[in-house]
Amino acid sequence: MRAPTQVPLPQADDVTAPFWNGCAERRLLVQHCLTCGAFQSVPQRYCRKCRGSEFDWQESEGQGRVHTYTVVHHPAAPALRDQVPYVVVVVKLDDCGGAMLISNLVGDGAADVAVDRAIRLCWDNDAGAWLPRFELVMTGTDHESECR
Amino acid sequence: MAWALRDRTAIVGIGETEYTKRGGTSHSEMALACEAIRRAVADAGLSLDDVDGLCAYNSDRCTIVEVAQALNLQLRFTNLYPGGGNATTGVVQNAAIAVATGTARVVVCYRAICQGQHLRYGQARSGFGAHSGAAQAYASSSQAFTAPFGLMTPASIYALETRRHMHLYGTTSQQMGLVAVCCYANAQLNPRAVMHGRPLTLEQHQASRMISDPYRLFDCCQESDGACAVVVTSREQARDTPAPAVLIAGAAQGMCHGDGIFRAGRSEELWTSAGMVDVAREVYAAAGISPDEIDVMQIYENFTGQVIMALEDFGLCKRGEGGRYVESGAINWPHGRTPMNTSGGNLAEAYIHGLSLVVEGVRQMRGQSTAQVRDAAHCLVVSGPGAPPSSALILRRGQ
Ligand SMILES: [Zn+2]
Repeated sequence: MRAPTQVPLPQADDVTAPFWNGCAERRLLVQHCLTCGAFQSVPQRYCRKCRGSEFDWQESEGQGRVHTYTVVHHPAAPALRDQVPYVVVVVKLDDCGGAMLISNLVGDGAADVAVDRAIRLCWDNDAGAWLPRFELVMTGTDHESECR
Repeated sequence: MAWALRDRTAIVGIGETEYTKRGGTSHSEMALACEAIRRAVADAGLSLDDVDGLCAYNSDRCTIVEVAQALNLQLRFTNLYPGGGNATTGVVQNAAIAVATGTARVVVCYRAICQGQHLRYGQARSGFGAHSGAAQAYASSSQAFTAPFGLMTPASIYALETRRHMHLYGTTSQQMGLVAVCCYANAQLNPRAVMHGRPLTLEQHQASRMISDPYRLFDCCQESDGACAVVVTSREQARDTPAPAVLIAGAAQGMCHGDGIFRAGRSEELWTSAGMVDVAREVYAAAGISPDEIDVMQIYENFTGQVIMALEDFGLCKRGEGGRYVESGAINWPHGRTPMNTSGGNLAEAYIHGLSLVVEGVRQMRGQSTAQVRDAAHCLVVSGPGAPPSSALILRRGQ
């Protein structure tokens, strides 16, 4: 199963630029509070735990689990008509304090998605932008950094 | 905490236009908004000259200024509640605050929505992807973490929380289907309902096409055209109005830590609730009653799973028991413990962004519903679950 294309691409702002710049280098960076040590996957202006404003960025190894998911069947726009169904997952990372992010599950077996399934990061290029997507961890297969 | 304004204000007028499926009206949203307000004011036995306040959803295209000018109102209070379905009862609370503090005497809350003429909520926003080959679209700030992954409609966003609830508590698609079946059954008694004459069985629900797993077509609210309005004034003033006064016993609104648009950053509690636990506690305290004193309830259905989570948040059942509570028949009119969405609700009456649920709550307290709960003294009205800032209202039958 594939991720949707012809969707809006991310546009960085002052808060999110380090995250998207990391993606451009195929590094999944998680915002990390220097005051209290909390991680937050979607970058914020202030730490959600302590309201601190100083951060560094830690690279995740990209292993995680499906926290929840939906399989989108109804195309939200005409451009998506021949791209459904596709799988949207909420990923809970194994590292970086269990930070969560929204992504797609792609590749072999994606239709067998289930909560708590082990997944891993693969990089996908959509119209020149590198996006962090995920695939099921299958025993006995080699990990490749790009989505198949 | 007890609410200083408990029972000090009342809803004395309700007004509705015809409700139709998206595209079913030839009138503009502004025409419908004005007509609903005129009917509500007439129902209250008042004149438009008595109206000195307007409360609206900030998502309403019919702005307060345009409505006031169209109806030639003289205002001393205006207020916009941030959001959409979550504003359902928040607008009424804000009107009550204005009235009880002497800021205004007669405040009208209104909502007009024509999804046939304007944005459809089942479609992606911001003009993206109208045709392939269109200029590349970009998503900024919070949207940048959802839209590039194809998460662009309320159905797919809310499906995520529902799937987690199913995983943790064993909630089933059939249980969600029974929420829709309940609403459609009530709509068969309500000639104003868009789905009047179109009953729904659980089998039909289960056979309907998948929108965003686990949500099927009949789990999703309708896309409608229509408008409605309610008139709020003081309890004293309400003594002179023609219909039985319906007291605003309690109201609450709020947004908890960690909620908001960045859904990936939600806490585990928020992934499996409607985010309304605090609002629920406060609305019961405001009215001075407990969940078992609720005789009838109107729960905003954006999606059936969110209704189940709202039932849990509002203490009708324990956390995780919402699906089985629905399955027990507790929400069904007339024999259930607490009949729900007695007009057909957003699913089967019309989707007027929830304000029609307040109108039905008033009808219940007047004893005028088409699915009347006998001797109902308290009606709970819950705004759009899962969308902050949330709001809720408890109406009390006047003495
Ligand atoms: Zn911190």
